[in-house]
Amino acid sequence: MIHIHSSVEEHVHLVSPIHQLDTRFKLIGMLFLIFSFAFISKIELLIFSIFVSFFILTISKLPFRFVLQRIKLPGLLIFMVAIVTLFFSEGSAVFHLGPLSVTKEGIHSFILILVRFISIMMLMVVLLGSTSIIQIIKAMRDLKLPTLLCDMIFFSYRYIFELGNDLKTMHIAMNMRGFRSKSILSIPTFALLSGSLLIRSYEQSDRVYNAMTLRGYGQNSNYYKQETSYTLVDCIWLIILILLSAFILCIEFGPY
Amino acid sequence: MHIPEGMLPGAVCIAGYALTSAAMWYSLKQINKKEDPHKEIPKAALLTAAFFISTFILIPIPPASVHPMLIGIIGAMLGYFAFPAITIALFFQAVLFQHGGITTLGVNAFLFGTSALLSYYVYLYAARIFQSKKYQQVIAGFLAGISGVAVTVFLFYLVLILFLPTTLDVETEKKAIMLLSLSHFPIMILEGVFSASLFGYLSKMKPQLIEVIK
Repeated sequence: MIHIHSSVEEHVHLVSPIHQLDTRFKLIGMLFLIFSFAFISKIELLIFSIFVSFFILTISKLPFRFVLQRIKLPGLLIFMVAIVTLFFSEGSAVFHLGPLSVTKEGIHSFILILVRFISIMMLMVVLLGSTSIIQIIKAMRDLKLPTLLCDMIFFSYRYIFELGNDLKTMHIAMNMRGFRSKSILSIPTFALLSGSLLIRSYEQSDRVYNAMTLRGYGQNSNYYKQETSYTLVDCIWLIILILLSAFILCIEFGPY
Repeated sequence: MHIPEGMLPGAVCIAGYALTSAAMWYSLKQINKKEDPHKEIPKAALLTAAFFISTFILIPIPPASVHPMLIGIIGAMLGYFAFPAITIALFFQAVLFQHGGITTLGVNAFLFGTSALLSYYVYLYAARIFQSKKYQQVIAGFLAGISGVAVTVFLFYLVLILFLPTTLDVETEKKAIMLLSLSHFPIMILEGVFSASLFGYLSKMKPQLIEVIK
């Protein structure tokens, strides 16, 4: 039912300058750039943003097909929203399509939403396609995310796969006993399925927690600390990404 | 019901992160007041994963299908843990499936997390009113489920319509928010029925799972 590893992390082991970056530096740099893209409202900057995203994607050596795969589904939703903004924005009409009129402001919003989405998503796919989820969580921990949140993230990440597998097994078992979900009348049955799933997993999580406590979990928070090192290349990449973000924000909010 | 990347202006995304940080700080402060905050982490993490997995439980409503949102259920079962739980689940959904996004994570987390916290209060209040009644958990669960969806849907459309880069007039905006929110009424009822059935089942089989983490 859920094949998370195979789809998201299938290109994590490629060798490229982006793949080799220290995850903490990559995370900070990429987030700066992604957020600066979110501020863009000028068409000239949109062209620049898509060029930057495409350039970083090329350096990362990730296949373009992989990016399309990741963008396809959320792209459909954003396209529908962009269509709504195209036809329902107020302003000076450029042309009419039956009862609907397309305005200059509508066209601007349409292009803005779509191109901004593609630029951000390309960078997101590069970030996630070149780094494993565990590396990202560890980097967040190194960047001083509260311990309680880090613990919850690690536990949740593990339970996602456990619950996914259990759900699949129980669903197959229900079907083999003749269950066919055809209407809303099956809601109570789905609630019972979810309840059984929660009980099963809760008992298991309780046992795991007790075992961890016996091994010293929660006694000393310093056990997380590890030796981490970074190189000059990591620093240079971070500076480049931050300068690019600063450039975008200066053009966006400056008097140019 | 996630706001995807690129849909909101940067300032709104940053404001979303600021609000989420404030709510997260408050939630963690409440959690850290407990004698052993780590004790409830497995249960909170389990429900975080359940919220993530819930997108795979498809209930057919011909011609389409819906999945339970679980926001009210998570709020009712986790209390102050609900906010971090929902934020983490949304982070995983953005990272693993590109549902929602990283720039919009702050806004999405605030919308869903606030709804979960409000559902927690609804659940506590309802459970107190129907104390010692046979169907206490079922009714409280039903109301928590409904309120979870109702608040989320209202906030979702409010943010979407107010901050989309379109220029709609105020009256049209108001009408659109009300109409789109009301169109989710059947979903609210279905979520309520789902929550009530789940709470009824858990109260019989594993009552400690619905002992809210205060």
